[in-house]
Amino acid sequence: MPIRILSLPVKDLQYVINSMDVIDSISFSLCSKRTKNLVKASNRKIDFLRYPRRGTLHIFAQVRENFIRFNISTPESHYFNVFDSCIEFAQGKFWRKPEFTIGDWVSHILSIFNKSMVDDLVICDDCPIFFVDNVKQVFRKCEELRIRGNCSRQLTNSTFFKLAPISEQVNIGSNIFEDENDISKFMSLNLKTLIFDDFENPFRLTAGDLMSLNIEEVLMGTGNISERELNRFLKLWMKSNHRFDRKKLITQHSRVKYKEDQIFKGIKFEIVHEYYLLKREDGKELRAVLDYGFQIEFL
Amino acid sequence: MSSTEQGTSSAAPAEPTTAPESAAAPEVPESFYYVHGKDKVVHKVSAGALQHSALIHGMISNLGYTEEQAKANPFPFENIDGDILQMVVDWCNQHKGKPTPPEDTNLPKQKEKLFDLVLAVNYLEIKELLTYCCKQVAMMVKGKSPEEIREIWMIPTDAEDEAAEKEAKKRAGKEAAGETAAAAGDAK
Repeated sequence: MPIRILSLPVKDLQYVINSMDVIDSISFSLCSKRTKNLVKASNRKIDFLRYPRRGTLHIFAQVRENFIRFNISTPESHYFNVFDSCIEFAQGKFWRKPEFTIGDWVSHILSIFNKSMVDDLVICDDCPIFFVDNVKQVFRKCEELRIRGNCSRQLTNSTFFKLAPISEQVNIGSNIFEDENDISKFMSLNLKTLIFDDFENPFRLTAGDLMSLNIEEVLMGTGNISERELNRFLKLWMKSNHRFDRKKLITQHSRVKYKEDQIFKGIKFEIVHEYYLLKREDGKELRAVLDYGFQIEFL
Repeated sequence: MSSTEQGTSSAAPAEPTTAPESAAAPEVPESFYYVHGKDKVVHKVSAGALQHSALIHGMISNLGYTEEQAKANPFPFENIDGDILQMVVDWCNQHKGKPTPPEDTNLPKQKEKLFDLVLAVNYLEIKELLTYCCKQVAMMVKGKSPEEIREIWMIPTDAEDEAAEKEAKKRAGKEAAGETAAAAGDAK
């Protein structure tokens, strides 16, 4: 005999919803507007140390050939796919909501978990280029955009320029700047964080690229800036009145140890604790750390 | 009122079995209280077992009953079925003075019973048992589709919810109109 769950006292109902796993709570939210609001009101929170935004569920969305795969970490991993008006849970179970589009699925998922954006938006190699525009409309915003290293050059390029404006942080997995692409176009974008992550083809940067830097933080897993270019950049920075607000540039590659005498050749600096401190005439300061890689902070 | 005393057997293991230990620590006699549900069957429960229920614990503290007074005036829970109250009493006796385990497999499997148990436990404010029951209720829909969940938990569709809301509004409007008419009649 069925039971009328909605006649339970609200507190008990919230206990029941919080006892469900994420996928079951999504199914429950799809029963009616009332159940959707109940799941939303349960305001599911988690304490998961691995992620920077502690206390909330972590939502990944992978854009594939003809579907979007959601992965929700609580910290257990729960995944499901959405395409057209369908949702596909694990074990190959489908459910259709005829009036829903992919955009409605995304809004529904974000809404019930009280999230304004997905945490990770991953573009996979089988995502069609024409679909990138739709992705922009459907997601509107994301914390981190990750363009997988095996994506084609055209897909990486198109995705970067179309989706970087909706992302707080961009992670590019393949070096697309070897020939025709000018890396300074990427560096001048107004982003919070840009991560270059191609170990096979390290990103080659020049002093000019660094001068065009408009991103708050650039992290390069495998950047390739010569000591000569770094010296040129530091000299240009010392002489100019170019202002970098809260900018940080980090590159790490373990093959070569940077040589202090070549990087600071002809530049006045102080050593404060383990940092090299450079002071400009206008009072602006730059702090650098050198090792197998370098870190520069504009103070 | 028919009266069957229960819960005494579960209190028995607490009694001392060896003389030297009891001599070292004088035994404080355990006090008992009495509760009955809709069926008026009285259940005898130790104060230790009743600690689980914030409601009954509060009543005991506030009333300051002696055992005789408690026996003469069992706590009435007319809104709880006898068999459900029996389950609650059994659970309280089983978990008397023990840390509650993370899982409890002794809960009823029948959906209606579980639902009534949730309502009773919520009323009696037994937090740990409520958590187990709610987990059990949540397990009913594990891996089910929205359509199956709607069926198991009798969830109305949006159209049914809207119709019910309209109906409720209509009824409230009629009642308000009736009250106004009655008030006008009184004034005349």
